[in-house]
Amino acid sequence: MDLDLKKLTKDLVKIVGKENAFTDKPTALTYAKDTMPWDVEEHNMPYAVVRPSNSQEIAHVLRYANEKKIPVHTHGSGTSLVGLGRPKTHCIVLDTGRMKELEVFPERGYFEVGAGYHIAKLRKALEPYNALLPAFPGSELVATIGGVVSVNTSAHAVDASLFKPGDYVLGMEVVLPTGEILQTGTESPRKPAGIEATKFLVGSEGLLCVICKIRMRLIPLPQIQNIVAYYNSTDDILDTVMNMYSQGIPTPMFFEYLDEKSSKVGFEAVGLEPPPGAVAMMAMHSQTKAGCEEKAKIFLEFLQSGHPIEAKIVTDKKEWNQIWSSRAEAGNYLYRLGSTFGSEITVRADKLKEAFHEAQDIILNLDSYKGNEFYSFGHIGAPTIHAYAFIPTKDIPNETKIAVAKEVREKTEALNIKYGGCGGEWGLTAQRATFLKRKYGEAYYDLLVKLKNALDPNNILNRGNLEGWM
Amino acid sequence: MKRSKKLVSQALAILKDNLDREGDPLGFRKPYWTEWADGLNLPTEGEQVLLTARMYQMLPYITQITDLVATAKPLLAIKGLDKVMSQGNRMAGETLIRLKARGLKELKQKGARILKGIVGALHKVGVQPAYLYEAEPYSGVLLYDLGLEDGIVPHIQGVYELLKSRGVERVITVDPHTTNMMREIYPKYIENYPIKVKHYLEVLSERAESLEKLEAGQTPESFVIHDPCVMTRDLGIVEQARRIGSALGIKIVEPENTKLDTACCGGPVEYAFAHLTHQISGIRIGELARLNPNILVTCPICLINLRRYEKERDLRVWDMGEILPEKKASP
Amino acid sequence: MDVNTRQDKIETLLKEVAKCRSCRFCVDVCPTYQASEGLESMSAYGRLQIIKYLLMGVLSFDDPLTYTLYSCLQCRRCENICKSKGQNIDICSIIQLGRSLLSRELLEGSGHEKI
Repeated sequence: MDLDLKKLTKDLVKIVGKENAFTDKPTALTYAKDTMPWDVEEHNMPYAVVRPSNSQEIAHVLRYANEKKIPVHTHGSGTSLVGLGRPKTHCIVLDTGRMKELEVFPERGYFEVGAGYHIAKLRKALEPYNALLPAFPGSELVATIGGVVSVNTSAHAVDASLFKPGDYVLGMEVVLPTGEILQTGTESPRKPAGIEATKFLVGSEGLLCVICKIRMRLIPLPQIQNIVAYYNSTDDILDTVMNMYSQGIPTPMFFEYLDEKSSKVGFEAVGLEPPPGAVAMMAMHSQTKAGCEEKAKIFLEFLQSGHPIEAKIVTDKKEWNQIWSSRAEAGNYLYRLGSTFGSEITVRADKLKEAFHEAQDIILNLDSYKGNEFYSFGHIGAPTIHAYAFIPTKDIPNETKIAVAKEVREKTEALNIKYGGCGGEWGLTAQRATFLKRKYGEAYYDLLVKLKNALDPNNILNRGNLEGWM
Repeated sequence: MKRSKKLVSQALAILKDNLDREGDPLGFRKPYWTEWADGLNLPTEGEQVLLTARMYQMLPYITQITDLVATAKPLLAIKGLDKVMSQGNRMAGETLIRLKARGLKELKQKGARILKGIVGALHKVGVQPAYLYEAEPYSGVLLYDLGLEDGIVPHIQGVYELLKSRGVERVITVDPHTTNMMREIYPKYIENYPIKVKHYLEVLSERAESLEKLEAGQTPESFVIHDPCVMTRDLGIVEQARRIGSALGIKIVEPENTKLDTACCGGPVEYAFAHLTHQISGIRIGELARLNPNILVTCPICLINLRRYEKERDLRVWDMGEILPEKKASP
Repeated sequence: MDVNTRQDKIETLLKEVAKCRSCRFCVDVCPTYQASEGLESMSAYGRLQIIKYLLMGVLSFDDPLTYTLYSCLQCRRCENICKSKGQNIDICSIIQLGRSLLSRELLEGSGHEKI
């Protein structure tokens, strides 16, 4: 496309102001580079970056974009693990970073927050109100509430306990791709039943609207009791999770595991003795202290059926912080010391063990690379396994990185299909567009394309994500 | 963002030129850095010296120059800087830029009080370093921070040779930037660098029991403390200021973002991007002012950047040196 | 990092920046990011990427690039969090090394647009 960059700059400055429109290459680059490890290419570079402060400015940008037929790519934090964040074609990047207002209305039972608010900061800001923020991404220092709600992910939590963040969304202020501003949902603590827009705009991955403001209910922070359990092998943990579902045991808020190798590196990294095998950590939650103590007692008894070497409630805060942080440290170890290619395997509860072993087999027998290692950890109670191919060096060619990432992804996604699951943390477009087609079929995909066309006839918003472009 | 390249390159050129010619970043030949010590009769020779590296003494002159530049229109600012600095350069051999505003004279006195406080406290705990007076060098830190490593190697070597020739084995520094320069950077360019470097906070903290509680009414009872970035994250000097405060009998309040997590005052980029510096210092002053109108700092850069809010926000920024017992001039 | 020649510096820079895994923990803590209301190029992560793509020849040594690299305060807040939660990279030292490559050119007043 022949674009007059000077004119574009002038036009965008008119909409958002001189301080909030950027067409220089260094800025463009930092918005093009997302979490994916491969290099930014020419076609990923945006023409411009705009930083609006409200829905009116966004509406104006979108109307302009539709008129000029220039795509617009939304930017929260660029930390999507399926590549949603990277622009797939030359575009205007719309950064939500300046939309950071927060208003808490305890008397109404909700708070309203701008899409650009970072999760960790939001959690802290809600503390004085004793309110729960039901989203726990590992990237929370920089991930935005807009991103979390547009993908509708709780990240690390067990869905059966905490459901999805979308379930807590009472309404939103959004801008449709053609520039109309829409107020959805309700101001009452009771959500509307029926065909209401919040339901299909939450989780729409930036394809159907730009989220500006989110209204979420205020839920009191639960009380927590923590349990750690040591096992001889990951298999015992898998059996435990499968039994937890089949026996209808009340589920924890968090249920994490580290396999034999990951637990060793994680524990050593936090200064603890390496455990004998695999490790599981749970956060038993309830609205009352008595409730979570009772729940922990019941769960501890239940755990015995999985034959742990030891399972105990941990009340000492320092001890728990150490154990809990071994999870993040295991991940850090992998990322620091080499190249890591991950997956998200979330399958039918009774197929968990089979899926795990098949994943292990796949990762240890890749076509695109020989000699990598297998590590796994994750939110096993959700149930989600993050199975990793680990190559202990960063010095591998760009093409190999892409090839390994693609192979790991494709084959583990096939497991999701084979065993009735779909993943539960990351979006379904961008690098998962192929999976989306395979999982739900061409008819559903065509329906999505039609829906996209209906709301976005010029394919302005996040063009390339539904298509699965790189 | 506009003309950033020209701004930075001019600043670099002027600073380097000044350093090469006069060994001073401001290009002054007349030893403005010794006036604070008039009448103190500090020994001029010794294996342990106090190294101010001229940092506190530079403050009023830097303020005057940056204020001059800031008042000029953006377009003129570049040309203005040229003019002012080359004027300074020409005058360097003759006389100092006269400090015009009263506020700047006060800043000069404040710097002197700070240094006299540091010396006074050191004497109180039984440490009597020498002071090189006119021979005292500048460490080169500003140019190093701007990336001119190779360019200042001659200066670094010169400073080391000077200290060596004076028999200096130990150095007590008064600001974190110089400390970092002398302790961490110099050894990279000088083989078997033998000089032991300690910041005065470290020296005082080790001997804190010899410090006396301040008399009531001498200073405010409590301060909110602002840790300099370099002090905590580069040098790991964190608890010393608290220990000294405790020995002096003052209460120290910790702000949001403190100790190893301290938030920057914005100072390091003021030479070129004053607007950004103001935005950053504005954020920090808010975090501090929320807790206490008396702010305690231990760095001349932090001092100069945070004290700009004193009037508008009814605050007072104190350097640690100001609350230490002052070394008075001999009668 | 004991680097002498220009080529040494470039190699070191590319190697160090390659360690970054884009976790972005260093973004929010940067005072310039906070002051600019969250502009990605005014962050530790942004600056690392800018250095990389400058060395790869994608970016030029122009005014916007100078501004991003020389506006770093060298305050090490990013390193603090990178060492505890991220990749343990000496981010400020890398930016400083990048500057040292450029400062010479700025001083000489030459306009080598691409490194």
